[in-house]
Amino acid sequence: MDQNSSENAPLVVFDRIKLHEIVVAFTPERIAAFLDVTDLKADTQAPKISKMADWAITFGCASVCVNPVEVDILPALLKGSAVKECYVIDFPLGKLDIGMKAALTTDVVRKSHENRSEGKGLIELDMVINVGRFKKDPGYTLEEINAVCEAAGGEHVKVIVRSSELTEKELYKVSEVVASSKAHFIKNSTGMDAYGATPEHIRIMREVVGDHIGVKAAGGISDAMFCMRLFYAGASHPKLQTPDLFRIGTSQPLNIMSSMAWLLHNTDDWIDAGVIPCTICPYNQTGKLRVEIREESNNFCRNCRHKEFRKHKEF
Amino acid sequence: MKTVNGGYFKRLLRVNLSKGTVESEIIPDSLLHDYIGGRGLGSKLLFDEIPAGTDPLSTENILMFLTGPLTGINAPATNRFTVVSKSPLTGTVGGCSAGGHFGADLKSAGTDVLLIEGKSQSPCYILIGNNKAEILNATNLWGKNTAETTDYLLSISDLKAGIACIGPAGEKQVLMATIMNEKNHAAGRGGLGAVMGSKKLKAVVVNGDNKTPVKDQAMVENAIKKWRTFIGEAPLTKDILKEYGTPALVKVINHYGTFPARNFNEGVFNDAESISGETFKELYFVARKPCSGCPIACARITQTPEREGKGPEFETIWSFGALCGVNDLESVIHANYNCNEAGIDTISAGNAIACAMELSEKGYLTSEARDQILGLLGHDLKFGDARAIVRLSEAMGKSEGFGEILGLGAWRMAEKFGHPEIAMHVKGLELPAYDPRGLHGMSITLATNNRGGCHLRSYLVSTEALSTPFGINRFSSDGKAGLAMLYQDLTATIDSMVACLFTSFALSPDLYARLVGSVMDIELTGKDLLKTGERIWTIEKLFNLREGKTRADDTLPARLLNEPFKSGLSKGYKIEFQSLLDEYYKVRGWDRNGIPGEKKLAELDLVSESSFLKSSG
Repeated sequence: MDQNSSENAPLVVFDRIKLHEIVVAFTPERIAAFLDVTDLKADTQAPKISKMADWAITFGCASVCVNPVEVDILPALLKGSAVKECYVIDFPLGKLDIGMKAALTTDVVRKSHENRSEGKGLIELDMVINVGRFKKDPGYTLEEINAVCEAAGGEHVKVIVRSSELTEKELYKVSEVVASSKAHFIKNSTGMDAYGATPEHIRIMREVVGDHIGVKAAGGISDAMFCMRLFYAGASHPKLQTPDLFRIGTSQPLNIMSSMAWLLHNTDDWIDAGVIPCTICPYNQTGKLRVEIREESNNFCRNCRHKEFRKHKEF
Repeated sequence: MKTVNGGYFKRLLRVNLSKGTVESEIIPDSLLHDYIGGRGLGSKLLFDEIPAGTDPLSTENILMFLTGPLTGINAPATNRFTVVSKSPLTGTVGGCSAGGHFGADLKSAGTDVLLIEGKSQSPCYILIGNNKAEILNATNLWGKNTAETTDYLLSISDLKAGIACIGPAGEKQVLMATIMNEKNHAAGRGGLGAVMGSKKLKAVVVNGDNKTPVKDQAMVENAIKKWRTFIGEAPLTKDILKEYGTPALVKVINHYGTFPARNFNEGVFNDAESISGETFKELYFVARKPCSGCPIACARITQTPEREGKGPEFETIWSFGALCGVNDLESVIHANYNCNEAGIDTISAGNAIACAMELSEKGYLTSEARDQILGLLGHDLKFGDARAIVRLSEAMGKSEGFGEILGLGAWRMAEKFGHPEIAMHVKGLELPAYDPRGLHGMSITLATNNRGGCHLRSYLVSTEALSTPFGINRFSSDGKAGLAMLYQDLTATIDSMVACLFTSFALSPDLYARLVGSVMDIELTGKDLLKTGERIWTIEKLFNLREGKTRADDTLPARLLNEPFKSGLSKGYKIEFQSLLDEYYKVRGWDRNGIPGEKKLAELDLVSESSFLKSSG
């Protein structure tokens, strides 16, 4: 089918019955289990890391996701809990060479094991691919992913593909590469890219990787309704609704839990109230993009059934 | 058996100013259980105590100051109080929530509810200390402004006392008069200050050292900790309100093209930058001055080269600024100070002036009125006149000349000049700073509001414009009837517990229920809480129906329904209002005339209260 036809519009409108089923399958407590509590800012300091660990333990979140430098404090904070440590590798640009990525991974894993002393399976690595190299040579990407996986020594690796910098065709391709690698998750964004998570990108990633590896959505996710739309896109089947196969990266875990509770009151009204489609569409986000991606986005918009909303770019 | 084991002394002080008596009554557990306290309890008492058709400014009307179960328990943003009476501006149920520390002081005086009835022969004030009250002479205070009154009463009582008082506007029974506490916190809307003035009651002074009782302190502490955690981390309560106060909204609402300018003729104010939260902070901010026990700390002390005071809040900046076409923030601040000192509602005042500006520009004013304006200003009244908002707000406080006409409110004034269509109000209460043409959910919630055109009884702006708890399509009516009900019912409970509405930017219905339930020692889920809110909303609706309000009163000014914006980000959208109103009534279980059905009334245990519906056919 022609990608630009109105029948093939991006995932910005949701079947109300299906979305309802997803929403009512969750509670604030349950959604917490899917959250990677994240703060990757340059000026983050120890008290914030401590606070994040406290939230994650209190509410039963999946992991605390930080920069590698925090490996000297995070393991002790999470010790005795089931909450995993998550470290980003070569963040946010992904421009280290393969050997450096692997070395960094080895180092972080070793230190985490030493500091936590609770064995394997309590650490995750979110690595950023080299998008520039990928565009020329997908084989390079497979090589770097597998190198990091090897260095991780069996600890789970999530692969950040920076989907906002890819054409739709490239997103399909990179998802295929990740699916064929030793990684455990594909993840759309660093949260510092041109834009963050969109249901359409999560849908594509799940479509390609199937149900044998996980999909992690990240970037600008701060409320439960957004999470539900991402579940719809990437984990609509109940069997995919486990933290092993779907994950949400967020710096706003409390907001997500609080808004989840809101969503369970008047669920159908919230669903019916909907959202302005363009605000969750990847093809509306053209400001910071390269020319070829911007042109592709404009082409989608011209043929989209929701294009009347684009009268006002900012809604 | 409905028992309540915490949050209350269960003490109502009934002060009869005609007889000069004070009696202490026990508040039944069932009332607290079914109406929580604050606004809910006040609305129920108002319904029970005054007959239909009572003149709000007569001896027969009552005025209540109420606390809630959370008052004085050291939970964040809960040391507020509620005032309830029949509104002289709207003729509907009237109620206001106010910050400061008066609420905590009233509770510490061992009083949950102060109910005032009758009328004093001469100016008086009420002094409440630990469990007792006196009626004292206030002749020397009559004519003084709210700051002078507060300072004097503090000097002769206790410097820590809580003081709520009226200014000259309340004394003169201006229909938009407020009750002020701590000089700058207003029980603002609907003219309850005029009710106080009609009773010749200048002030209420409260102080004491009672602690709000709770049964299981550990459980309460645990629930409070959760509140602190969530309020401490939600973006609006953690950062934005703390950094800029409510004026942060100026640019946001203007950006969406929903910032009514020039008496709702436009949805974008081109000079918004000059009255923005950022400009406010840079040029006039002195310090934060939070309400008692509030971590959000949105209130601000401000200063201009000539004067110092508190505020203005966002709504005031809008009403004297964009709505009047005024871009001079300093004049807006002075108009705000004038209103606080005189005890005038700034939203209604700015609206009335904007309405007068349009009447004047269109040539609808009488020559007598025009002469009065010329006498005050030296020229005709026009949009954009910064000096006018200062002079006219002063004149309204004194109720002199054209100020007296403005004090009638936009609706009565526009009627007087034969052009009611120029008044932007619902049920006589002037509208707030959110134009429903770009926020379609706000259309239904403003129109059906039991106290009239007010945003604080159901702040759907939170979701339609501020994406809290999440964003929705602001141009669609889908789902909005149900969401209006959700917000109305939840807000009814927030006003009844009595907490600041801003807590709803961080807390879910379930978190409210957990704390209220633990304090009152009752089983309460979020769903139960919303059912209680529905009961409160419905008793208020029944009050209004008994007063003769109909479906025709649940509407918006024709301008908002028939004239889409011609520019801005909300350009061209039209509200499908009548179908939305039908849907709203249906969702509430009311008939298409807005009359609650028998099944619904039985479900809410309001059958006896609704008996008048049968007798009136």
